[in-house]
Amino acid sequence: MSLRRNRLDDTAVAELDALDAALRGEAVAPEHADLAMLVADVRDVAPQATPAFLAELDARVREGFPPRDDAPAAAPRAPRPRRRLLFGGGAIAVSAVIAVAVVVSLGDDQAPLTSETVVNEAAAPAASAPAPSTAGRAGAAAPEAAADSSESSAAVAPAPAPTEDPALGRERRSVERSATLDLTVPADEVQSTADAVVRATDRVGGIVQTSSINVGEGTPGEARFELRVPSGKLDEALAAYSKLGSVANRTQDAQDITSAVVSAEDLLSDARAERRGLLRALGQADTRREVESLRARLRIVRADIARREAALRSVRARADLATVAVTVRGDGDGSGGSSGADDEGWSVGDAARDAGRLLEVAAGALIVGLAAVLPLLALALVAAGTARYVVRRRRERGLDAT
Amino acid sequence: MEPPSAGFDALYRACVGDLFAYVRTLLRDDAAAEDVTALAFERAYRRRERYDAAKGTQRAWLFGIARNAALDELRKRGRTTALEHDVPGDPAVDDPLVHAERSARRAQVRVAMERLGARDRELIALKFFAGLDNAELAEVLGVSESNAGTKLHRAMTKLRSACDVTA
Repeated sequence: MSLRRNRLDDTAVAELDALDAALRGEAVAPEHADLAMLVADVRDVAPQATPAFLAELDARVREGFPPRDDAPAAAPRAPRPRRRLLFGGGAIAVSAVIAVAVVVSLGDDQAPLTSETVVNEAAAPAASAPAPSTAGRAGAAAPEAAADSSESSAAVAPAPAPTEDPALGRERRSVERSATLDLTVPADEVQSTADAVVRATDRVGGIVQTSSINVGEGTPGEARFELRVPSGKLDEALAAYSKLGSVANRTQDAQDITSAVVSAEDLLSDARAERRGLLRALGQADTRREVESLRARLRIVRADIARREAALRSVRARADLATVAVTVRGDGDGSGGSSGADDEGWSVGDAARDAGRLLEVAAGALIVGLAAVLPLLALALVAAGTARYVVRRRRERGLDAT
Repeated sequence: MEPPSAGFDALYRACVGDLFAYVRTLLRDDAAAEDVTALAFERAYRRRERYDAAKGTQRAWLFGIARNAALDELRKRGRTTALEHDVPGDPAVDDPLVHAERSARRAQVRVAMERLGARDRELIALKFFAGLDNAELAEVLGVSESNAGTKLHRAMTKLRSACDVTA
């Protein structure tokens, strides 16, 4: 009524209200008496159905509109798609689009659905950057190092071993070995793993040069060690360390320091030879001044020998003790024990992560699907509205022709 | 509201006369009006499960079906016939003078309606014969309620003018 009042003036509204009243058989205001009379007159001329027609129609209604015998045989009519079927087809189409999107997405992104172990390829430099004097050997070792980097649980790859170099004419080469090892363990196992690193070092006769352990609430935890282990037991030590957690990264390096050792030995030998010569000269000295001079020189040479012996010990220690840097990191979610199982099977944690990832991908695909379908749906709605309008106009064209 | 499947017979009883009058006014052909009326009820009966009370009354739904059937019939025929039905007498009126006066008025109304356009004549039929309210009128015609009121008032004004002219 309010809308009607917006378009019609008060007189018109009053007339329409009076019309409704008259149609209901109610009394109308005197000024609308002619309207009531018009209603009566128009109703008087209302077409009436014949009794015969009404009787026939009554019977058909009672019988539920059975097919009429005299009705012309209608040509078989193709079933019209119902709205429900259209909606059903639309839903199926949308589902198909989403399913295809999910499959495509998963096809492009398989990795997150499987447990994976991040392996740092940094192991390669151990082979690609060999010690200068062992280039040939290191080059041959490169495939082994690469293979080791691709399998975190693989056995310890043999480090470049010292070899005999006929050109140097020495029986034994001196090699300085070093290694780095990054372990990942559950956050609540960082401390116990750090303790295990120390115990493993003790077992091989090594020492802990430096250590730093950071474990606390709300942090994944981390422990760093600078270890020295006998070079002959480096592989044994690395194998022991690798069993303590999931190996995220491992590198080994070998540097030939034979030249440095030989140089130190030669320097020491020279100093000792000089001392022997000075002692012999001292035994043959005739004058006091000559004796004093030789003794002063001997003091210098003895000090020199002491320095050179220390230098030789130092350089030999580099070959005797390998340096191992071990880092133990707690994994981020603190779910104890899951990291170690990554390489062994598909755990409940993996399933939860995969399920989350699947839902994430499905939601993304749904959004993409809707983005593609919604414009089509809008177009379909516009087309349906236009079609309805056209059909209505076409029907009413017959009305205009009368 | 009672679903049409349960109350179809009641709907039929309540609407059959009005529906025939409306269809007859549109088609101006008794035989065609009977066919279309029967067809409209049959369609309504077969589609009664699809009636949605949220979209309007049963009466408006039924008249919408009848309107489509009648318009299809008009379009199919492509022609019209003259209004030739016999107006029933008024048995309650025994006074010859009164009878004559009312007959004269009916004749005026018949001529006036003949002079109306088809759309106005349809509005008059829906309102005066079928007794639809403006909301039902709007639903049948596919327009807004305010627009239906405006159209109806316009048609009614034309009818009154036509009656005055023929008086």
